[in-house]
Amino acid sequence: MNRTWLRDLPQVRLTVLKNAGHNAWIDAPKEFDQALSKAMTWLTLRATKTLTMNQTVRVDGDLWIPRLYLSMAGKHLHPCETAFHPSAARPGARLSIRPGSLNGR
Amino acid sequence: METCRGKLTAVRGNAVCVFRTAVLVLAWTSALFLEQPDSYLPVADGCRLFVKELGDSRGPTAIVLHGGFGAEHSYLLEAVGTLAKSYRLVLFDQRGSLRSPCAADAISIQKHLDEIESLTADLNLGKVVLIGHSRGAYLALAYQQHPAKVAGLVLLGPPSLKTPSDPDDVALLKKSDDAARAFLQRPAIMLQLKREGLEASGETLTSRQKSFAWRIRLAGANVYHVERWRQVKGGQAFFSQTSGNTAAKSLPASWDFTDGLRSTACPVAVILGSRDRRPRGRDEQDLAP
Repeated sequence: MNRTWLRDLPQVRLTVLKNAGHNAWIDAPKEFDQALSKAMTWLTLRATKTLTMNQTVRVDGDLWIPRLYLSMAGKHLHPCETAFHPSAARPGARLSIRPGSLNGR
Repeated sequence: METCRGKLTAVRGNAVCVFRTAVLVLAWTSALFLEQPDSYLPVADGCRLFVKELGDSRGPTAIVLHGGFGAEHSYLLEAVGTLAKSYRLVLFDQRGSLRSPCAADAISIQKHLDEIESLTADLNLGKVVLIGHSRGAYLALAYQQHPAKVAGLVLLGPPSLKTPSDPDDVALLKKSDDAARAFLQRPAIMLQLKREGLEASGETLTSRQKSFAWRIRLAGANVYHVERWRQVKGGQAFFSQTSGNTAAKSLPASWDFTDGLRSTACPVAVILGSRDRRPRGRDEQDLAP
């Protein structure tokens, strides 16, 4: 039921563990650990970098006003921090960080 | 000979040095990942929350929300424990649950949401990931009313994301409920009871055997591999039916998280078992946990 409703939701990543029940970590401990770990890596900023105000970020070549964090591991911006640039929410967007002034935007 | 002895001493010295370094590193990492002492957080209505923190205090923080309603945090330690290597984990018993005594009239969904707020403020957590299992996932979804405080959600076996309204959804719910009933009556559960010599009912079983039979049935509802019933935690004294029912009664008549999930800017990870067949409707209080 939920699987049907979760289809095509852009910010949702669904992992279905084969032959696992409601307490999936008991049925599929290894797969559950992997799924949980991947989910947390995706959600959080494992390797974070704080941008200073004299740095700019490009997302797929477009200038983006830096917010606080970048996910260096996932190579995509944290979607919660993407209010300024919708394309940054797209997983897989290519980033480059370079020194420079925001005034030059 | 002298040179040989010198070399031997040097090797031995190096070995001692390496060993000491290893011990120091081990001690440092153990201290870092050590479970914090349990604490209590006073919250509104004269209630207190039992709080358990563990993991890397320097890592991003996740609050772990147990299910039920009315269960308690400890059954999730096994599920999320491995994250402690990299994350700070905050688990707690929701008000009215085992270690967080609270009057029944002070228990509601909104109060459960308020206590997440109290927890983040008291521990100065900033933005957090919410990991919710079962009806804890409902709380995580509902807490998204505070998007500025949420870095993302991990939903483990969430309850129904919406109360069905259109005919397609109603048909889907019926199908799901049928599957849930069949799952609870599957032969594997009876087979496991037989294997354990517990298929008899009533007074012929000792109280210990009755407990085991109950746990096998609990496992039958919550895990696919019912032969792993010994690993299923919770229930009985670890589950407050009263608190759970009170919280469940305060659920809205209908809800729909799918619109919010479609428009949210925050990432949401959902982990589902392909055989997760728990009842999903509003009036179906979870079996513990």
